[in-house]
Amino acid sequence: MANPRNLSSLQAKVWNGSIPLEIRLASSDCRTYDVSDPYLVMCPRLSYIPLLLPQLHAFFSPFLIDPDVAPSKGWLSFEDVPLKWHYPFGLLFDLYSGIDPATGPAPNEVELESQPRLSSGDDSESESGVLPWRLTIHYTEWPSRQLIQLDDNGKVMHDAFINSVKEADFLRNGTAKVVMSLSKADSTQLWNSVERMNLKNFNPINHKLLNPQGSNLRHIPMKLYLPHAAPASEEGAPAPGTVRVVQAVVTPLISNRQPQTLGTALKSVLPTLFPSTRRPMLAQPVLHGATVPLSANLHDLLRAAAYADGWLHVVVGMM
Amino acid sequence: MSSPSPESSIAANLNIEGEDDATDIPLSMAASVVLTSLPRDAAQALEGAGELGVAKVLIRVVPVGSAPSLQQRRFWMKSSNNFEVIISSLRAKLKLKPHEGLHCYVNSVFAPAPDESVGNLWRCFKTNDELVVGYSITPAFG
Repeated sequence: MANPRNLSSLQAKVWNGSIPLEIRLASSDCRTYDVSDPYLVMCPRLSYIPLLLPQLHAFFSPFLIDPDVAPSKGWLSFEDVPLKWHYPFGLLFDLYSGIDPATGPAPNEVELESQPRLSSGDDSESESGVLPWRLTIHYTEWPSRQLIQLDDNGKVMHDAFINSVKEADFLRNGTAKVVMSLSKADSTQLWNSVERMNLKNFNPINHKLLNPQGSNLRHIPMKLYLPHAAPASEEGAPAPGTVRVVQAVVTPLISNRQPQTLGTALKSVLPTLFPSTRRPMLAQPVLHGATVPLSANLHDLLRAAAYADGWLHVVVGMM
Repeated sequence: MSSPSPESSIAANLNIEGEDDATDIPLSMAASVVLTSLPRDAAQALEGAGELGVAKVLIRVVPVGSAPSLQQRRFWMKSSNNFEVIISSLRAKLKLKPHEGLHCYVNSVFAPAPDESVGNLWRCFKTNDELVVGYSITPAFG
């Protein structure tokens, strides 16, 4: 088991991670002939789209065809794919941006102080670069097949988050007694700490969730996101693929003594993609924009690098 | 001929419910490009990776609070369907009007996102090979 101090320092890094976003208003929602100014923001990786919607609405309302539209009617897309608001930004970025963590900007470069691709001063480079991540905001034509409608007072987002926390809790303990027994104040503090990205307020509650009295950790809450190619088209032109989410029961130990590593877990859930527990052969796990060593102890990883809802959301990138 | 397993005898008079197509999430072009140039062995390894290997799973539905009970409390569903198919199928069975709410909970604990796959939920939360879904007209287990 890793040194607790190292785990907290890694957790603090994960919470500080952010992604530069450049958000433009969809031309169909924009009343000026020319496109409006983009909204630029450093967005925490652990945050959620609905938490950004009030500021986006405030910024874009002078350009909106319907200025009375509610902020909660806003939805984001990347390359015409509607972004799921119940996925954290970091997961959406790792899943959709197409950035290869092995060759892309190093994680520390993605943090606040620099925007590496833009600062090069080379226009063609910044055009083709992934950063800032360029998204589009829409206020009409809600994609109801893909996204649940949000409400004005944030209850839908809150409930989705809490249910995800409960699902994780159920996997960890075999019951959801721990999360159900949180006081109203604790439960409010948990969500408020995510809204404000306040790790100091998050940790006391998270500690209660991760260290329940008289109960041992049963399973590690982990979801794996696998890209799939579309069937080859006749013209041979690449077509957008799909994502498959895989969730399986993963125990913290694989025998009395031997802890589960990311490698042993991946080999057991995705044996064709991870034939070796030690060395990535065909695919590699990506978490918070970084490739994670297969030797990582999964229980340590859960404590240091889980998303705020208690899950390890791991994107499987093909090599 | 061998005797049917307990599971298949239950299955005998239950229809499989749900949509025909798997409802995978669309991927962006930026993330798709790399997939088109994968070597054959990698593409083969990816194909079918993480699939449940079970085409259909048993769902047991349980009324919560004042929700009306159903005669048929158990049905098969394609594992590739999303949880929203269970919700809409229950709405239809209960003949709910559009304004009437329906809240569905796995093991009477949490409400999965509508886009979570039935196969994933069954794999992680099944009891005696059934995914137990509580349903309520008013919100429960808040």
